[in-house]
Amino acid sequence: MSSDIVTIVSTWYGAETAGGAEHAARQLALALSARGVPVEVWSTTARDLVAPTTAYYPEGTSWDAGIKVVRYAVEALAPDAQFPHYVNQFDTLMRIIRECAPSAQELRTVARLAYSSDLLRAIAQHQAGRRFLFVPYPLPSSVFGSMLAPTRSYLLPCMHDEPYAYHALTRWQMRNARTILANSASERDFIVSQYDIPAERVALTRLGIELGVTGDGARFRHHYDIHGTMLFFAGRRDASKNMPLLMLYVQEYMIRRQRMLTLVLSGRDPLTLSRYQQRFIRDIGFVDEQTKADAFAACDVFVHAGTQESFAFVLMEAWLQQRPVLVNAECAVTTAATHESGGGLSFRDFPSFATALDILLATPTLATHMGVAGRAYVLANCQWQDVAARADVAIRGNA
Amino acid sequence: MTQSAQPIDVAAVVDALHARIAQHASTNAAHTDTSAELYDVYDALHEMELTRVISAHLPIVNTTVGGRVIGLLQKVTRRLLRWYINPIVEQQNMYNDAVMRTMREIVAAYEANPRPQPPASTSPVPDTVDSHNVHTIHATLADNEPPISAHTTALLALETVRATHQTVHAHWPLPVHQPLDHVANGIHKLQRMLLRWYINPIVEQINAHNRATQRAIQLLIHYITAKRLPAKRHE
Repeated sequence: MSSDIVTIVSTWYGAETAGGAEHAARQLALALSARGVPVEVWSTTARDLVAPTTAYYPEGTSWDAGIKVVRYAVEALAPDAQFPHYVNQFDTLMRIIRECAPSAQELRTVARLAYSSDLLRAIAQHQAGRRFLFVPYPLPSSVFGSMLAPTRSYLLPCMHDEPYAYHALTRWQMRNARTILANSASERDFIVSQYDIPAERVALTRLGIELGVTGDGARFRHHYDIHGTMLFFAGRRDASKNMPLLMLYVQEYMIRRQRMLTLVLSGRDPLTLSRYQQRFIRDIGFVDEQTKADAFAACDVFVHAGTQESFAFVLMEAWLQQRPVLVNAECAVTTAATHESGGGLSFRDFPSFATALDILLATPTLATHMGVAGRAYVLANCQWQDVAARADVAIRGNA
Repeated sequence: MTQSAQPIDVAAVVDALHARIAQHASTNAAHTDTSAELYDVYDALHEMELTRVISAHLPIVNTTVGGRVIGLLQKVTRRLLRWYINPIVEQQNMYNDAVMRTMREIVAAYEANPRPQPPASTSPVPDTVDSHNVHTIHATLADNEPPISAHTTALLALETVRATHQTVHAHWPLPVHQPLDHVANGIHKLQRMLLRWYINPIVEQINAHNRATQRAIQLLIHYITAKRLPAKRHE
């Protein structure tokens, strides 16, 4: 049994911070704290990926829902940086980088990610009595932080099959962390096979969601003046979530079936819609949790075309409101959850996308049945207190 | 560089396509002979193909003695600046290539896509579908649904390609492969500093045109697609 402080290190953190991994970090911090685990958060002054190096929060110590948060100054990125020069001040990092021999492309990529030298220095100097949980894996605070304190490193990587996962520095990070916390069985399997590490070093802790939110679909439709069939997606509206593909498929579906739909999108990133796209896409921007829950409740189908997920909070949130989902079969995580729960269908291409929509829209009874099955799955698997208990065991060895 | 400031003029192609779209919109007849209009489009595309590659290395020909001296100086100047000029021209050529391919795919997609049909009176989904057989029925229905046009998919991919290449850079990191490169890079940096008053405004104009082209192409694709959507807003 350890009395070490669980110190969550996340480049972006806060109630106003967008992003799945950052949301997971905050909710896990709250859940661990509620369990009585001593928790601190070390972060930077930047808010989130939308403005990655812009100071938003004040530097220094603050409190967020009873949790101590220490923020270090985020630093501006050098344009055309080829190497993360700030690592020069840490002999340990230079030695490990030489050992790993990352490619020039990899170093260039890392050099262009948000960082804080002060945060790294704090990790190097103040390790005693702490166990660091780095969230997520590819940012410099995690990559270099875990190198500075390997024996005290735990990872909540939020990983999927993407270029960062193939970095030499990531391989070192994964192989040297004490324990890795996986959000799903698919993520755990990927990590074990990708880095050839013992399965017992990857704990399937999963993630939770706020279960007490009840959406009001009628209120949402009235407020946003939405009629007819509504599809919904919440998250980044860019290529990382396969948004162009989703828009193309929805458009092709409407043409073939000669049936107009409304695709409602929610997210913080800016979205410029042409007059044509405004005929069937409705951007509601970044909304509060209640409005988002209302949108889930209002939709006929929650569509998720993304392939790079380690958990997909939004899928669980859709199921909590008993709505069926349509996910991309190329994503192992969302497809496995959908099949396991019986909460929806998956598509591999346009024909399977179109016919899945046909089925879900033509048979409301079946769609409702899927939504109910999804909700049962969420209630059984996504309780934060259960997640916190599993994470506590993985990090501190406390049952 | 003078030539690199003349990126593809898509106006002719766009006008031709608009004429063709207008023709389609004004006639709902089952068959319309549009071969002449289509010929014009292909003609314009052919012209684009012929002019899309910008060369930074056109022949310098002089016949007089004085002209030969000048030609030699021009060749030396070109040689000294090719590390700077050629990458800029190559970047614009990549964008031009993406635009060229996009225009071809727009026409091909327009030709390949069938005229929208009125919706079937009955749903293809059987009444018997339930949670037990839904995956089987889904797979069967999907097998009978025609795939999306390859040209339509290509247009989606080309959107990313154009976005990647639309900004031409006049300032990139100078590589170091061997110690002597430091000397060469020092000279190059000096050259770039002395010439940026001249080159940068040209590149900025190219980029402004590329941005405008990118937006025009995207809106053109949207405009063509919008014609195929149902007129009715909601069910």
